[in-house]
Amino acid sequence: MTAVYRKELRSYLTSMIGYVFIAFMLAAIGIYFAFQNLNIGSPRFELVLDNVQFVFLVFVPILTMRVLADEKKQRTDQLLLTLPLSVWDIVLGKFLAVVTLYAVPMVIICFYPLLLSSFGPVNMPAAYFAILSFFLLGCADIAIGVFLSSVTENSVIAAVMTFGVLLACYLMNTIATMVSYTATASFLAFTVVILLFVAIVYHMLKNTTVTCVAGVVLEGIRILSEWKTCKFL
Amino acid sequence: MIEVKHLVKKYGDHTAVNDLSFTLESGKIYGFLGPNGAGKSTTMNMMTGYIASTSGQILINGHDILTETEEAKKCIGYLPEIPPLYVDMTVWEYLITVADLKKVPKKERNAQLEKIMETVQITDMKKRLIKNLSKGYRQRVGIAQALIGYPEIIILDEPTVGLDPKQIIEIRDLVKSLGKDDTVILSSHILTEISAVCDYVLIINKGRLVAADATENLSKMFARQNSLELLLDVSQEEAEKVLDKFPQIETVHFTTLADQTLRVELNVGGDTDIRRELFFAFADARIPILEMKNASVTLEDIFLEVTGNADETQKNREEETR
Repeated sequence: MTAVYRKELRSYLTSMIGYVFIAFMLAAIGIYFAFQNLNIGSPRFELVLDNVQFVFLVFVPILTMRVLADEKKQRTDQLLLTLPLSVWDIVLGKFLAVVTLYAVPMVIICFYPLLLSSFGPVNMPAAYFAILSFFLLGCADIAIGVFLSSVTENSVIAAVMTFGVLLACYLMNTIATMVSYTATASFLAFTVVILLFVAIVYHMLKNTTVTCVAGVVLEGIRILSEWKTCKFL
Repeated sequence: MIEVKHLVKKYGDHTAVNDLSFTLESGKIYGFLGPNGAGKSTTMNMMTGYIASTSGQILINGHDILTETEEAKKCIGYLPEIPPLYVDMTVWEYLITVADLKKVPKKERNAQLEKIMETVQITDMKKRLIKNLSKGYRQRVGIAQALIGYPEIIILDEPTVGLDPKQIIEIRDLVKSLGKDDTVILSSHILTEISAVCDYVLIINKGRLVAADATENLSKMFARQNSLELLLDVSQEEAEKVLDKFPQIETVHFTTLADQTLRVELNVGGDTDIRRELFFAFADARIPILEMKNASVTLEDIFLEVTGNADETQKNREEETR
């Protein structure tokens, strides 16, 4: 795993993409920080991170689109998969390399609350937990991107798919308001989502048993979780 | 030692590899021969663990490639059809990366890489970016990659494609030198290459093993008895008049060439050598023999015969099922 990790991190740091990513991430957060905290004089750094979430929509697809798709396109997956490495090593090594790159701007923004505290009292736990959750959110998005990069060998398609999924996640609150709040409607909406998910699982695995089990389990969890509200059952 | 047992690979309805079984011993050079799309690369990809088989088993030094993946893969160095190169790296960086991935100890690494680069003659290219290298050099970097860690089994999928004749000879010599200590398996659709390098040939057609034997044995097995090829400066009728005097001749085949010369291919029964008699018979008839030679059986003939038969038997089978 460490060998894949080192190889991947080296490829980010010997090309422009790693530095460009770090620079733009810092620039985006820096602009919001300068405007919301320094200019207006608010001590709440967590609001900056809340507003700056949209950067994931742009940067995660660009950062992860090549991770596995490019290996397939250049046929270097044939090298990795025939070396004494497990798939686990390859995927985890690559994921952790992207996470490490992403951790660099995160470490740098850890200084911002300290900077802010020189002007007045700052709620430190709120600021640092916000940074932690921002970091974890980014890791989750990167995991989505790495996964979608593995389903295609075209990195542009991988980027577009990742963007679509992240956009849907980003706008989920708004999308949710479109579904009516009655039990029947939410039942139907969730069933549609589960069926979609199961269809994707079937398309990838071509295994009826796994697909049926996944569908029944998900539907079961959903019904149990809303047992009291689903009065019509 | 590689054991392949009843290997099958299906892509939907298409069967790429159909019930393939063979055993390869250590210290020999094996050749996989077959027309394009015969299933050579598919078989190699399954042997190296790149793709899974539909059914059947592959044992590499006793390790099953699907269950004891890492132990089995440690024994193999593989050069796929398209060399898997990271084109943004220099040759040296790439080889270091592969050595790292193959878990070659750091102490031995540099010495080993220098030696391998020497063997495949890419030392001069050490600091060049792979994307700026020519096809031949890329192929050599691919071979170097397969040699890192000195695996016991080296599998090369069409190693000489895209190389110039001088490089092809160099690669062949390299393969021969590797075959002294290790098992080398190479695939090709070029017959001369296989007959020049390999100890043992496996002919594959449409996913089936149609012939497998030592290279010399194959030639012997298929050698036709006593066939002669003559080039005469005469018309067919006159040649027939002379040849009629020889009852030993079993079959004759005439072809008139563009320059009005006649090519005669004939098969003689038994072990009798009629070349001298033929010479004098034609000389008496004042017919000049421009050329006379024993038609030797090449691997090419065997290949065509074997793959052709395979087609026929398959057709027969299909008809039977109808």
